[in-house]
Amino acid sequence: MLGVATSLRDVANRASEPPCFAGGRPRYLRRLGWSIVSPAVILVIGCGRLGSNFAMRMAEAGHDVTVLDWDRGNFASYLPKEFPGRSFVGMEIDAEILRRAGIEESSVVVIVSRDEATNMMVADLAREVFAIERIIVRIDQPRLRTLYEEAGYEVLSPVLEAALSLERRVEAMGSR
Amino acid sequence: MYVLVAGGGKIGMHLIRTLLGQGHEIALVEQDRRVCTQVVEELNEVIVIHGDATNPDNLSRAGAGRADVIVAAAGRDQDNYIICKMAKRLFNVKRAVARVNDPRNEDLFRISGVDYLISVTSMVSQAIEHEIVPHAIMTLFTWHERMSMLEIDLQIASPVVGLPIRKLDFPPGSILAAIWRAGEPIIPDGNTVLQAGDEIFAITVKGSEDLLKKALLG
Repeated sequence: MLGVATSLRDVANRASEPPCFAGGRPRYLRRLGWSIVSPAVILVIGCGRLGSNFAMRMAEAGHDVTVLDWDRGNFASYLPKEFPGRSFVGMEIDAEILRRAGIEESSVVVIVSRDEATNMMVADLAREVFAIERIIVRIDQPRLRTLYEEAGYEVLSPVLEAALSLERRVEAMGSR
Repeated sequence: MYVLVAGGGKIGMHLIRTLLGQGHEIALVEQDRRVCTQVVEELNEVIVIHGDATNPDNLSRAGAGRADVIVAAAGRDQDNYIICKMAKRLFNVKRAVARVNDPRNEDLFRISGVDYLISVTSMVSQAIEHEIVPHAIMTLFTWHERMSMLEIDLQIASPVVGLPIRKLDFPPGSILAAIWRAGEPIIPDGNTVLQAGDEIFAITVKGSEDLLKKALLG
């Protein structure tokens, strides 16, 4: 199971568990001498704002991160120069490209390009061709999100998450 | 039949004209407004929806719920993939046909339940192979990865030239279905004698192609 540690106690508890990783408070943990419980090999597909931000965070936390995008310009636009992981240019829906980007060695595949059709096809490739079990796929369209959730995928909808967050924050402001 | 076509490119448009001629009811989902306008003007019996076919709402507006067949003929493989998947899973469309550009994606399309693939790249490469390789044995089509029809050109050097078919050491899982000889079709029987220049059409199950090739071409 994929988990993100939210406190030091979590990290301590997880140290005895089989491979998982802690990535929630990387800088804080490092300062306290806590590095990674167990570094994960992560393939991030889509190097837009979301993909690059996530990739940089995970790489800074000590994970082994590769970012794949077909548009070379996206790396220059979004990925910080000091990104310590690998970047790979290639067509995402090509199984051979996914193989060369290291999908077979990846423990987690995070598919977050802006193109939903691409995301969905890559998710199916990862599962059907490469038998990857831990896949997170970005889908905003509600019916497609449901379709993929029902198929057992971990689905991320930035729109839905932002809307829920706004809802919580507005409610927390009260009705003054 | 009610046929839903996604993508009004060259393949989509040709298909629409053909199917209309056969009396089918057609709906088209197309992103490009100019193409939509052109179709409405030229073929006014087609239901045209202007929009992205990878959005289920547009498929729904185009009547996906009552479609017998969906043809995903957009330019990108990932769009055709998801269009067919939606048609099958969300709208229970009985048959899905997809255009595929990259032959390497064909397996995934089949796994996801697409019934028929139009693979332009495969067709072109097979045609090229047929033209440049002497002694050619060409796969005309493959059915569900399990069965193929092959075309074999018999050259003078072939060991079976001059033999009646009953004398051939035919591998199991193959049948010689027809011969094209001097511009005429022949349905052979055991006494038909093979000649140089015959084009042989054979049907084989998967795994027997090489044995058949060996039997006929040596």
